[in-house]
Formats: sequence, structure tokens, C-alpha cells
Amino acid sequence: MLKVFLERLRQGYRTSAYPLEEPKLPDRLRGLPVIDQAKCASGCEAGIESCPTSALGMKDGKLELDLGRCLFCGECERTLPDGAVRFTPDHKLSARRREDLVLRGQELALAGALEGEMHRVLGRSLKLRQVSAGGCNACEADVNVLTTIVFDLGRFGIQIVASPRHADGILVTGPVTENMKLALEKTYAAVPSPKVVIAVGACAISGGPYIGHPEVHGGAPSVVPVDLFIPGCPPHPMTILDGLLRLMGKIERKRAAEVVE
Amino acid sequence: MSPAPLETRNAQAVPIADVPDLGDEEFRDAILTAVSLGSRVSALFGHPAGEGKLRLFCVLANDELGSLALLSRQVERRFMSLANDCPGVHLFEREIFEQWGVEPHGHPWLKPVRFQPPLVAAGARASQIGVANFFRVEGEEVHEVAVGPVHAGVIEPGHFRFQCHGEDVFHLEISLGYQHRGVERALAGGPDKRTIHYIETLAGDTTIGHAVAHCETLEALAGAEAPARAHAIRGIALELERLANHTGDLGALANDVGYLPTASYCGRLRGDFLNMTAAICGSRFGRGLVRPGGVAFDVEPARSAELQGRLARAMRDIRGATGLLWETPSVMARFEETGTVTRETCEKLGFVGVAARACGVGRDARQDFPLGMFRFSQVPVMTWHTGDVFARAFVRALEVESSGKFIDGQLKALPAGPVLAALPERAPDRIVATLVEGWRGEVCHVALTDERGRFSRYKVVDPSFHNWTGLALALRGQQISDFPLCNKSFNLSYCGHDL
Amino acid sequence: MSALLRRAWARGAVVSSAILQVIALAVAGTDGAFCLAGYDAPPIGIAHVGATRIPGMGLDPLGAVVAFALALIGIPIAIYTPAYLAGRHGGLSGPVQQALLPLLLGTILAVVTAQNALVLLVGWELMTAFATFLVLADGHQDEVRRAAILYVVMSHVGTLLGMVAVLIIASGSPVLSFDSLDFESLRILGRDMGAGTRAAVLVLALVGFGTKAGIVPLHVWLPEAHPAAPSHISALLSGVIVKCGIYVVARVALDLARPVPFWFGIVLLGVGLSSALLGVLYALMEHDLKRLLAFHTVENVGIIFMGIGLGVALSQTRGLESVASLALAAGLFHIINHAVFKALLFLCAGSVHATIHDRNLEEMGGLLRKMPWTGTCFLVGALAISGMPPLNGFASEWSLLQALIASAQSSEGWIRRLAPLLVAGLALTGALAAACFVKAFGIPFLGLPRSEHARHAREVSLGPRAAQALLALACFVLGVLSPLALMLCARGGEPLGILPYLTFDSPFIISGSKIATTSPFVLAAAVTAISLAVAIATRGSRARARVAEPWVCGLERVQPRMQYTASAFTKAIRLVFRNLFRPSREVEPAEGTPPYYVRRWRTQGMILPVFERYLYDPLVSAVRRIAALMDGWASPSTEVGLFLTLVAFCVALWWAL
Repeated sequence: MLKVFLERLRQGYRTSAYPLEEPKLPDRLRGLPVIDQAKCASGCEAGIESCPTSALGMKDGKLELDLGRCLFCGECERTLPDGAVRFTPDHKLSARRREDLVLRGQELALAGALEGEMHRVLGRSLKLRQVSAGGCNACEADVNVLTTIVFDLGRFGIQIVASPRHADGILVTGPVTENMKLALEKTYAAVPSPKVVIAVGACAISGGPYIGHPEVHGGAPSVVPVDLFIPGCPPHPMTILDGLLRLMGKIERKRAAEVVE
Repeated sequence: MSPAPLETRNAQAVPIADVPDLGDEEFRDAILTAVSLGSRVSALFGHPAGEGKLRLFCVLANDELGSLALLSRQVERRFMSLANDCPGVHLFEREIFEQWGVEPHGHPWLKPVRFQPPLVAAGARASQIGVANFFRVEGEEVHEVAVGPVHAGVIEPGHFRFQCHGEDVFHLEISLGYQHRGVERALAGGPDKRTIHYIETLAGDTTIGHAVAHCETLEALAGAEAPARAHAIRGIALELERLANHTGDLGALANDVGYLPTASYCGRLRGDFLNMTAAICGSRFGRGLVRPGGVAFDVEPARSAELQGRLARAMRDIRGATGLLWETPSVMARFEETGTVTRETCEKLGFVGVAARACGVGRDARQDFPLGMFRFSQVPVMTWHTGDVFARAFVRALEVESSGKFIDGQLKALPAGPVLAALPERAPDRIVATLVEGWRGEVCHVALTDERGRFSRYKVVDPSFHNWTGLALALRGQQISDFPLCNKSFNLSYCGHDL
Repeated sequence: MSALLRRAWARGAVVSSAILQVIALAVAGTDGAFCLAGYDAPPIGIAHVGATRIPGMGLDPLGAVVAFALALIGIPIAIYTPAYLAGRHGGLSGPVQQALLPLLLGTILAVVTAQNALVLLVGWELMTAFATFLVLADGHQDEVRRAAILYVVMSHVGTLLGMVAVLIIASGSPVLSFDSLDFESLRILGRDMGAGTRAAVLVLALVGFGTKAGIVPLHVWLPEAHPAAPSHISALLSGVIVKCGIYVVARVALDLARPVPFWFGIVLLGVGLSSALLGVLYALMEHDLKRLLAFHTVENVGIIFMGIGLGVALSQTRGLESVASLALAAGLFHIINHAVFKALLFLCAGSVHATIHDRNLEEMGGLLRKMPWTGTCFLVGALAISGMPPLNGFASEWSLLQALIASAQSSEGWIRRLAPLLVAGLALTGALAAACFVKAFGIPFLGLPRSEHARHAREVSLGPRAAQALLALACFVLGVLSPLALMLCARGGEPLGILPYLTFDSPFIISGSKIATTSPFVLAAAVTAISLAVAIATRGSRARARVAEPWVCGLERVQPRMQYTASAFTKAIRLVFRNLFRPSREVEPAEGTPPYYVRRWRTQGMILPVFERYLYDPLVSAVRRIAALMDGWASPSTEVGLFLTLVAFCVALWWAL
């Protein structure tokens, strides 16, 4: 018993102070990509071609990057003219609407809180059932790590529950394979209203590397209505945490300045 | 005199034409003889050979000699199953039936593997997942417990059908395939811009393991070698992946028996190891690090020094956290003699990785088929003889120690030079089999190139493919409440099996 | 006569018999109630014909308890029977059964109103005979015949021993006549017996008449005969006929052989406790619904004997007379209560059997949805037998428990030492009974149907439903009015010399100097009031109920095999008591490539039938061996036979002279 106590003292206190403090992220982290349209006046085709999931495109002469398809592999950063697309270590990536994920050089419209009745019911306590609809286990692992002591999801009132009957919403990872489609539909139907759906990872938003495969259905939006999109492959746990907190309204966005509520 | 199987080495590309095409009896005898002499089947798969024929390729691995043997045969509609005499091939034969519609006659358990559409246009119909004919133990007192596909934790989907009598489990049948994404089908015709991403995500927690196997395959086909510094960094990343996952598993095992101190510390420590990988390449899982020809990120001296410091602290912490486990009687009472797999079962069914080493079978591809930096820097093989949950946990703890030492040694002595080399063209009409010891066990990639050097077939065998049967057998006669513990002690990849 | 007319005639016969039974039993019940309350019986009733008293018969409070119980269950049974018989085919026809049934009821009443040993024994024998005929209603089936034979043989062996007991008492008188066998005369003779003779009488009476009651280890006929009989007969058997066994034990051992020595009370306590525990333990392991109920009868008989035994033991010690009276009252009240809820359970089991044609729990499931009335009544019966307040089972078991706890203050060392053990034993019995009924209600009535028959089950018609509902109502009323009932039952101790020192302040509250205060009425009222308040407060609430399929982890559909089976449910208890049960399992692994790929695998579990294996089988084989030996002598030549007859005559003559 004494040993356990001493070991605890030695291991120390490790919970991160986010969102009161900015998180310590790896310097090479490929977070929010920033597009500089000027650098892409000409000769971007090679770069656009290099994207494995065709997340890059040209629309009305402007370079477009769909975060929902982006694998954050950095291939475009290497192939495009220097600085046309630059991945910054900004971990804040989540959005409420699918169209908000398409970047054209504007600022990413980060997710806002749930509205009205939903906010009243779920704003202080969000119980989620995780459904892995064919994911590769990386998004699942990074969701699981949120319950460990560094991130400690429980202190925000968010909890992963065992049954959809206990849940307020589902957290979907994976591209929704044909074999998991029925299970995802049943899980969604089993959750009592009001409910939210959160899609985590490129696979869950659009199908990720498996876009176009006949064995998958191209992400959660093809089966259930999604309320929160968290892009990444896999998204850093801080990104997921940031998205969940924004959904609950624990971080309000006011123009340029971030005010923590 | 029938031709002998083609002897080759790990990651050595040989002409497909050199692989002997044996007859029915010869193929069977060659495999059974090799297995009886100590080899095991690393891969057995089909490849269309034109005119409605299927060519079956078999990769036999001899751990003692460190050599691989390749052989093949042609089949049309059916062939005699080997599963009764060599149980280790049972799942491969079922996969052949599901993918190509060629029946292994006399197979004792011919059930779907992944519930996938076949890889040929005219072939076996895809069966409906979840509606399978599950095995039943007869008797009015027996009831079934059906778990999955959506499990109670944050875990991949799979279905477990228990035949129970009260709390005792008579029989467990595992039915997977919920994550089938069609990776093997998509890999054929590659490599293209998506190939490396398929490889990195086919088993998302074994990104480095599969990526290294893939890149070694490509380098073997191109007849080139990655620079030494790249090999060192690949070794470091592989061992960091091992450290992170073993730490996570030890924490999860502690959590399942309700021992929270170790569970909490390991939960944090796993993140520390993942962050070390992210410090090298920006992604906690090592996405984007390993590329054909080397690695995409370098570790400069300053970064190396910082990593060494973090590693030392983390190793001290993990030693402290896991040490608590072995000294707590309540934990040991749950771990010991639970979910035991005998050595005989392990050898007959061809388990690999941690599950095999926990039964006393010292199988480790880093030692038996060394590639990359493991040719120069040996990592000792850790085994334990009891084959229960404790053995699998203890082997993990021992491997954490040796991995930590390896990484520290490599960081201190990184070879000079570039980290990425350009690869020449791939050779046409070659076959190459690559074995890499991922953190679960042996990853096997077998690539066949066509006349243009593109993949005509790319077979991936995740270590879980061999080991899922082990979990099903380990549960027989156990209490159903020990199932989460046994499952975590194996910690197999559902998506690596389902591809 | 045409078939239609024949059927109408049969139906008419059955129904008119039922009506007659109801009238007769109503009269008997009223008589019993009046007697217990201490008033004179009305002029027309049992034991009276006009104003003349039938010689050798009379109703006293002890008999009144059983008579009242008979009336209370006999009336619903009579209402139940016509529809039940209409649904049965084969065996004895409806009219024949309904002709035998009133005869059986008559003989039961004769037994409890007998005031003469001859009347008692003749009535007893006739009761056994008629009961056997009715058990053989399905006599065309082998197992029914076997069960009936076992019943008759054991009854007769028991009756033999019991008769010997009575005759030992009677042997004290010089003359053997109808009047000398009158209870009054036997009481006088019994008082003057020596200690050894008294001990012999008591033991013989207990063993002999206790066989009919079903105490362990003499109970083996019970789980065979009760399931074999038609359900309404099983209800009578369990409800009243075994109580007649208890009654006669009490009459002969505690009344005629007075004063009862202290050790006999302890013996009764021991017999009661072991019957209770063993009965409930074996009930837990049963999957046949009616066998399960039969074992519970053994358990409840044990509880009744505990009550009577404690009453007897405590009445010898000073200072605890009120506790003695309470214990006896609890035991006698339990006679009535058990009759009511056991009859209820058997009738419901009969309804289930009528539609499923199977008694195996593992073949049922989901019946509550198909048979809501029967299911709800079964639930009430299950709650009553598990001793849940405010029903009747709670009242009697609670009172007995209170008496046991209070007896720890006895000055008598034996009782003081045994009291904690008995309390623990009774509490364990109650808990195991509750567990057993969770299984007995949950497996058949809840969940999904496990067989084709269960899927197509239908509710029974009005008659059986009304009978079941009446009995359920009786459970409730007896529970709420339990203090009143206990006071009345306490008067049943008068013939045994245990004076009723039991008075409660109110007919709704049980209270006393050494016992806790309870009121099932207050509890029932409170629960009703709260439920009503909640229902009114939440009427039209905003929450809408959503009907959805059960969550099965995302599978397409839930299957009946995924439910717990009855033996899986009780497995933990089977393991805890494995030294008693000696469970074994037969596993045939069979085809496939063992050990990895098994194609066929079959398993069957069983427990060791301890009493049959170690007591009865050796006894029966010994008897067989002796019979085989004597067979050798049985057919001697004529000369040897005549010679032996002469010898026997001379010996008898010499003894008489």
C-alpha cells in the first residue's frame, strides 16, 4: 500500500489545463492548413494531382482544400509552390457544417455551441456512445485517450457510455463499411432524442483514404445526420477535445480573440 | 522428383517463374513435411492465373534457419484441404474460398472470413454478415451470449458468440469482417498516390510496422537499400510503436481487473511515447514517416537529445507503474491461469508475436528474419512459458524494457548520412515476401509484380490473422466475466484481419 | 344419444358438481370461521345434522383451521375445474372426476372433524384412496401410474406406523370399542403413559402421519405425485391433504399424547428446518414447473412444523407464553396461507400447461404478454410465497421469525442456543425461495418464447381466470388482515394445551411485548397512496413512451437463445451447495477435428438424488431381496403350509391366554 502511495507521488499530477492554457503540441504537428492564394497563381496542377484523396481542387480560379477529405499527409505542402499550402500547428479544426470544412483562404468557421433546447439539455452533460464503423483504430485510440488522466474528459461532463440507450449522442469513426451500415443505423435509432452525431476523422466525414471504394459508404453523413465534424487522420486528441468543448459551449468564439467561458 | 520449394530470404525479390508449380499431392506433402520439420505457414493465398485457374502461393517460414520457402500450385474449382493436418492454414483456406470461390474440400470449418464480395466476378456469393450459421452447443441448459458488433467500450467492431452454461463458456465463435474496406483489391495495380495511405491505415495502430514492411518490399523490388540513418530511424519508430502499444495494453489490463494506479499511469505514459513519435514526424501514429527509400523526417542532434531525456523519464515511470502489478495479489489472482493457451496449440495453429512468446515459443522476426537496423543491433527475445494472461502481460513488460534500451542505443549513435534515397524502377514479374515484427507479431507482405513492375497482387497478412483463433480457444472453459481480460491480453487487430 | 347431447350432459354434470362443491364448502368454511372466532357453529353445517351431533365427530379450533383452508381454496378450485376439464382429453372423464372430487372433499372434512380415532383412520384411508383415484386421472401414462403407486405405498406404510401409534395409546384400555377409541378416552390414556411409551408414540406418529405431510426424508412421493395429478388436484393435494397430515400429527402427538415432552418440540423444530431448507434447495434445481411447486410444498410444510414445534417447546418454559402462542399461530396461519398461494400457483401452472402442453421451464418464455391474467396472478402467488409484504406469506413467516428471535430470551438453554441457528435457517429459506421464484416467474413469463408452443400460447377462459383472481385477492386480504387472522389461528392451540395469550390492539397492527410492530395494512395503504399520488401527478406528462426493439449491440435481431436458461440462473447456487447436489455434467464433444474445430457438442447436467440413492434404493432392494428369499418359502408343499398354520394358531392362542 505504501508503495502504491509513493509511486503516485513519484508519477505526479499530469492533467493538462486545457482550455485555460494552450496545449503543448509537437512542433511538427500538421494542424490547420493555411492557403495562400497568391502563391498559386499558376502551376498548381501537379500539387492538386498529388493529393491522395483529391481534397484539393481549383474553383473559380481559387485553390480549395476540403478538410473533410484531407489526410494531413503533407504531400501538397511538398509538391505545391512554396507556401501555397502550409500546415500550421493549430489544433482547432472542428466545424458544425460540412461546407464550413472547405477552405479557400478564409478563416475556418469553428464549431459553435448547440442551440436552444439541445444546449439546455446537453450543454452540461454529454454522454456519448462510440461507434467504430470500420475505422482503423487510430481515431478510436485517440478518442479513448481522452478518458485518461492527461485529458480527463469526465471533468467537462463528457463521458463515453456503454449502451446507446444511456447516451445523448454517437461518436462515429471509420468510413462506414457495408458490413457496419446496419449496426450504425441501429445504434442511431437506439439513442433517445434529442441526440447529436459527431464524426471524427477523415474516414467518418468523407471516407478518408477509402473514398470511392464500393465496400464503404463514404462516411457517416451518408447514413446519419452529423452535428459536428472533426477532421484529421487521426485528429490529435486536443483537436477532438476542442471540438467537443465547442459543441457544449464551453469555449465561445468571439471574433479574433478567444474567450474562455 | 518433384521440384523443391524455392528457398529465399526475407525481403528478397525472386522471379515468379522460379517459384515451383507443384501438383496436388506434392504441394500438400511439401507443406506438411516442412511444417513437421519446424516451419510454419506465413501466407497462403490465391492469385488468378488466367483461363479460370487460380494459382495458390504459399510462403513457409523457418525460424531456425531464418529462411523463407515459396511454392505454388494451380487449382480450378476445388482442392483438398490441409486444415485437418495443418490447423494453421484453416483461416487462409477459408479466405481463398471467400475471395475466389475455390473450395477447400474437407475443410472442417468452412465459414466466411470477412463477408466480403469476392475478388472475381464469377465466384462465391457474399453472405450476409451477422446472419451466419453460428455453432451451437446442444442441450436445453445452454444459452448464448452475443456481443457486438458495437461493443461497450471504444473499440473496433467484431462479433463474439458464446455458448454458455451459467458463467462457464463452452465455446466461443468469433465472426469478424465488419471493417472490410477492400484494401487488398485496391492495392492491386499500385503503387499509386493512395497506396502508402492504405498501408498506413489498414491497421491504424501498426502504421510503422506495415509501412516498414511495404517500403522494404518496394526497396527489394527496386533492388535498392534505404540509407543507414533511415534504417535507424525506422527502427526507433517501430520500437516506439511497440512501447506505446504495450504500455497501453498493460494499462488496459490493469483497468480490466480494477487496478487503477497502473491503469492511470499507463494511460498517460502511452501518450508520452506517442508524442515522441509525433516529435519525429508530426503524427502520433507515425503517419507520413516511413516512405519508400527511407524516412521523410530526420532527427537532428538537438531533437535526439530531447528524445533521450523524455525516453529516460518515461522508462522510469513505466517501470514503476508495471512493477506495482506484479506485487498486487488481487491482480495476479486474476491474471494467472486465466485464458491459458498451451504451447502445443500455439505451435499447431501457428500463432505469432506476443501470444506465441507467452506460450514459450521464441518467435520474433527481428531475430529470425532481421531487416533494417535489426541486422546490426540485436533486441533480445522475451518469452514466458505459462501461456496465460499473466504471461502475455509479463512478456509485454519485458519487451518494453528491451525496446527502451534499443531506442536509447540508436538515438545515441545515429549513423550519419541522408534519410531518403530515390528508388530505381521496380523489377517486373517478381515475387517478394517481407516479414517485419510489428508490435503484435509478424507482419507479412507478399507482392507480385506484373510485366510493368506494378503490383498484380499484394497480399497483407496482419499478425492478428494468425492469432484470432487463439482467443477463441483461450476462452473455452473460462468464465465469461474473464472475457474482456483475455481479449485485452491478446489485443488483436480487427481491422488488420478485415482489411 | 347423439354426441352433442352427450357432451352437454357431461358438461352439465361437471358444472352442477362444481356448484354443489361451492355450496358445501361455503358452509364448511363458515363453520370453521365461526369455530375459530369462538362462536357456536350455526345449526346447519358439518358435524351437525339438524340438532343431533353425529357420534364421533365435532369441530374444534385445530380442525377448523384446516376446514377453513379447505373452503378457501376449494371454492376457487371448483370454479376453475369445469373449464380445465373441458380442455383435457384422455384418462378419466370429466363427470367421473367431478363425482370423485366431492367424495374426496367429504373425506377430508371427515378427517378434520373426527373426534374418534376409528372415524379418523377410516376417513384417512378413504381420503388416500380417493386422492389416488384422482391422481390417476391420467392413468394411461406410465409415469402417472408409477407416481400413484409410490403415493399409495408410502401413504400406507405411513398409515400403518400411525395406526400403531394410536393403538399403543389405546392399548391402555382393557376394552377396544368405538367409544374407547374416542378422543376423550384416548386423552385420559395418553396422560398416563410412561416416558418410553410416549416417546415411541410420538416418533411413530410423526414418522407415520408425517409421510403424508411430506417431511424430509419421507417426501420422495411428493415431487412425483403432485406433478402427475391434474393441476386442480395438485392444488388440493398440496393445499389441504398434506395439511391433513400435519393436522393428524398434531392431533395424535400433541393432543392425544399430552403432556408433550420438551425434546419433541425440538425434534419438530429440527424436522421443520431441515424440510424447509432441503425442500427449497431441491426446488431451485428443478426445471419442471409443477415439481418445483411440489418441492416448495415440502419447504412450507417444514416452516409450519417449525412454528408448531416452537410453540410446543416454548409452552413448556415460563415467561414466553405469548411468544409460544404467536409461534403456533404463525404455524397454523401458514397452513391457511400456504394453501391459498400454493393453490394459486398450481392453478396458474395448470393454465400454462393447458396451453403449452409442457411443464419444462426451458420451453417457455414471454408468456406474460400472451397470458396477462395468469401471469399477474402467478406473480402475486410468487410474491406471496417469497414472503413479500403486504401479502399473506409475509405475515406468517414474519411472525414466525419474530417468535424465533424472541425465543432467544428463553430461560431454557437448548432454545437459547438453537434460536440464532433457526433464525438464520428460516431467513436462508426465505431468500432461496425468493431466488427460486424469480426463476420460476422470470423464465416462463418474461423474455421471448423459447418454443413453438410458447409462441402460440393463449389466455384461459373466464372460469379459471376468476378462480386465479379470487385466490390472488385472498392472498392480499389475508395479508392485510393478518393480525386478525393470527388472533383467530392462535385459538387453534387450545386443543393442544397452548393457550392463546395473543391479543393485538388492532386488527391491522401486529405488536407485542417482545416482538416488533408491523402492519401490512399500513404498508399496503401507504404504497397505494403513494402510487396514486405519483400517477395523478404525472398524468399527461410530457415524456412520450417510445417502443423500440431491444439493444443487441447492433445485430439484426435478438434471438430467444440469447436469454438466460433456468439452470444457468441457478448455477451459482448449485455450485455453492455442490456438496449436497453433487452436480455432474455429461459432455459429448463429438464430431469435427477436436480439439479445435468441433462440429457437434452436446451437454446435459444432472444432480444427485440423495434420498433416492442412499435411502430408498437400498431399502427397496433390501425388501426385494427379502421378498425373493421368502418367495422360496412362499410356496412350500401343502403339508408344510398346514403345519406352519397350526404353529401360528397355537402361538396366538397361547399369547391371548
